[in-house]
Amino acid sequence: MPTNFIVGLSSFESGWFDNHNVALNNLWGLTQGGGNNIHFSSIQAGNNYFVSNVGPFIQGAQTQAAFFKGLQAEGYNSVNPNYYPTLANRINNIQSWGQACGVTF
Amino acid sequence: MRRHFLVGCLIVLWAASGAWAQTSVKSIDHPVYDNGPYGYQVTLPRGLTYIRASPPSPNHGVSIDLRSGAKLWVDASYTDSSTNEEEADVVTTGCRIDYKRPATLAGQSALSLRFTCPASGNSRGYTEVITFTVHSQGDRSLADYQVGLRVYGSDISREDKVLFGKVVGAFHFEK
Repeated sequence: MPTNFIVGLSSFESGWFDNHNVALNNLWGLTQGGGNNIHFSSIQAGNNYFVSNVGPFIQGAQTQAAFFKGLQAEGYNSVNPNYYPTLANRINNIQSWGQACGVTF
Repeated sequence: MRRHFLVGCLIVLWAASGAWAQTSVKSIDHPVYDNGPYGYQVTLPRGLTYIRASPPSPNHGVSIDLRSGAKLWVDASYTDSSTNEEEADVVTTGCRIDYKRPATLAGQSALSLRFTCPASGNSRGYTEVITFTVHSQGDRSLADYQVGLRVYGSDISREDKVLFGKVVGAFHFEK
């Protein structure tokens, strides 16, 4: 899967890993019953949870359409009809954000 | 045997629909929707059924399919925009702005926008009204907090406009 899909999703759901989500070790906006973001014991634990629970829906996606279809099937934001166009915009800008930070994908 | 087969088919259809990934809630039972991830709360008028994400999906807000065919939502999502004006440019890209007015949302400086977007690809054309504010709540990054209403191929009814105004007025940030 293209790296910018994953980086784009994570940055969008965690607010570029803001203080709120750093404290939770949650890069993905993943929630628990009741709706609050899950507090993981480590970033790795959060990533493992993402791989186990969301991974099967998006595994092998090579296009944005396939990636979004997988996220939709998992249930990522069915609330706002503008969610996926906005996420696409973020993913399309990851390359330029990376260049600004001296990172290439 | 036949009964088991039918039940199995229903389970497969239900799973394929993605319906398990969201929860339907009646506002008469749970009028207050509290969003911890983004730090806001909204009290929804009686008589509505709203949809929210189910765990472990990210929890951004709620949506309501109205009898008129319009869709209303309350949502918060992180944004790279640092001002309301900048966000307005992003959300209306490719669309015609019908009006843009200063507003308030939960006491924050906001914008109220109405814009019309043409059909593209498999998407129908639509008209949307949103009231939003780009705001940093507590220890979170800047997010776009918004109440939105979308209609396809028709004008927004008076009843829906009134409901939209009520929801905007019932939006609060966590203290």
